[in-house]
Amino acid sequence: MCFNSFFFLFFFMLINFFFFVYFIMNGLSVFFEWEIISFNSMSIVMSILLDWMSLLFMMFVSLISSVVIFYSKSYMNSELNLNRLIILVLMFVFSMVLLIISPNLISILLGWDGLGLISYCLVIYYQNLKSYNAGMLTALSNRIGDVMILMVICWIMNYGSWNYIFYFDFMKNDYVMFIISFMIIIAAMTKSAQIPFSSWLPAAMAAPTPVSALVHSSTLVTAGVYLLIRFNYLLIDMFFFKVLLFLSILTMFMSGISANYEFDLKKIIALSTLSQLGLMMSILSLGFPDIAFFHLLTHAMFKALLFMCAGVIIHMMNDIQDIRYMGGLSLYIPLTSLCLNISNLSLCGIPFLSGFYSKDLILEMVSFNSFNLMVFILFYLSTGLTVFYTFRLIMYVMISDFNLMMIYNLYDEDYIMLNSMFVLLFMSLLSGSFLSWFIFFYPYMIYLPFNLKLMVIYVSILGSILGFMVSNMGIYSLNKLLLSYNLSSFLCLMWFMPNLSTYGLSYIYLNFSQILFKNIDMGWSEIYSGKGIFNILKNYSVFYNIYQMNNFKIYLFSFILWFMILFIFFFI
Amino acid sequence: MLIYDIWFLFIYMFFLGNLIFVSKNKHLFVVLLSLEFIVLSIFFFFFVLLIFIDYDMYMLMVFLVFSVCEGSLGLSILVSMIRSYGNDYFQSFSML
Repeated sequence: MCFNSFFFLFFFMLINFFFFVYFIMNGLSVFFEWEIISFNSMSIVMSILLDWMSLLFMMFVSLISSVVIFYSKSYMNSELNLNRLIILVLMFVFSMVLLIISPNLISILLGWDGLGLISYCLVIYYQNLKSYNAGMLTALSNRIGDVMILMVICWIMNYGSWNYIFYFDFMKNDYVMFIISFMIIIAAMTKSAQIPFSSWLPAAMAAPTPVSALVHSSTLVTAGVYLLIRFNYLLIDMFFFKVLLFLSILTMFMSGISANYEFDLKKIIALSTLSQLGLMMSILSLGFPDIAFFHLLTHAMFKALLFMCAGVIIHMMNDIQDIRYMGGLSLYIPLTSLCLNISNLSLCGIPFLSGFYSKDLILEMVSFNSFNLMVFILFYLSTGLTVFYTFRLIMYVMISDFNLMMIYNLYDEDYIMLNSMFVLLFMSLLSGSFLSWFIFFYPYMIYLPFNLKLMVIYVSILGSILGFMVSNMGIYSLNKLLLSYNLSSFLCLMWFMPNLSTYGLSYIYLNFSQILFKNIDMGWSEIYSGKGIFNILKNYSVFYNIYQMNNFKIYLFSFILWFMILFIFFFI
Repeated sequence: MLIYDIWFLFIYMFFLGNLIFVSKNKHLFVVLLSLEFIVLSIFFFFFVLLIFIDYDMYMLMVFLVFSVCEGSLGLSILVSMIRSYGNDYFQSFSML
């Protein structure tokens, strides 16, 4: 099953690649349309849009999913029901492809809902309590986005069909389009885990690691960004887009800080995904959709690679995900630490790896166009924080001493996992330059003063030095920042958003329902049904029994009574 | 008290006999005695009635024979009940 789906998806990827090259070289865009029903002014059509953006995205999705399925053949080989996981992953890829190729809100809803539901099934795959909680948080946060898209479907029926791409320039100043854009932005915010809804992404790390590599690095969380890229012509002058800018910059900053306090390997990677998503959303809301798309694709490559390396490390540490137990791994697993290093440095934006092309372009565009001071500061601070937690992770995992056991034997020779990582390594090295040559027809004109141009390098070097210094923990070292307990718990626990999303929303209702339960369910409704009727039946049946154990003569007395009545009525 | 007429005496005796018949007693014998009392009242009324119809008293004798048979039947039921239960207490019967 693994090999079949791997070959199928790889072949699909090659088809997509060739069509992408053909389409983008000839400026071609194909639109299939099947008209199902046409009422008076309302037409229901099923459409498929194939232009270079959807083909490129489909190529990347199928490449990552084929590599992940191949990887999970060895990662989850002790799993009895591996076929279920593979089928779920294939259904996920199908929903994603449906989302990518559709210019029609109904098929976007099918893909979107499919993504949410299948990611729930994948998160609860290991059926323990933590997975159940995480799955509930994931599913319900995504559900808000589904509701928003349903309402957009209702509102856009106002215009006659569900093909939204025809209505952008035409209806831009309409009130209905204002409401539609508001709801679409909220839907994208829930899917891509921006600030009010960002608690599900670290919690969803309860899923198996190959699933995290596919879902939470490149496909599910970028569905929101992709939707906003498609809707970009509509949203670009709207007010709420600027609110999105504010929230996504805060997301980027918040997750960068929280990743510095985390000691769980997968959670650090999840928070770095969240930070990069904030970066994508913010550059999108500044008005550059193609740069956002570029960063989406390169980020997919190195983040999936990072998750797969984390999977190998977790396997090696006997399923321990805590980085305080790890150290010195670069000496023992050279190939995996090669992949880990390259993906980490690509994440930081080290020159000429793939992340550099997208990230550096974003930062230079932010510096070149005139924006807020807060936007500027938070962008560069978040870039510095990215380097900070990356280098802290490298120090903890690869450079310190090994903390788990005294005698150890770590080996790296699982060739299935290594081969799948090498495919992504190749792409992670080259996809930056490859994509920038393909999708940008002309380079962006950027002219910056010298120090501003090197600002990226300054914050990166500062972040790396801080990362080294913070992770030099010995036995006697005291982390003075943790002495201010309130501040560091605020920063560490993701600005209390998981607590707000789970405990804060349900506390009032659970409290109230406890009162209701005690008073009504175990109180009054026991008297009026249930035990009350039982008591009535019990007591009165004793009476009935006594009542019926009387004399026959009582029955006969009724005759005398009748006689007396007759006597009274007829003789007086 | 209501003795304006002989007829009222009959009503009175009959009704009282029925009342004793339906009352809750301890012994079955009381029920049989009340039946005999009813028979006696009817006999009395029958006698007074037949005086006004030209003194034809033979019907009265037929009635007396039947009532004596009924009384003896009742007594035989009483005897069989005493022989099976040992007493004639009425509490063993219930409406069910």
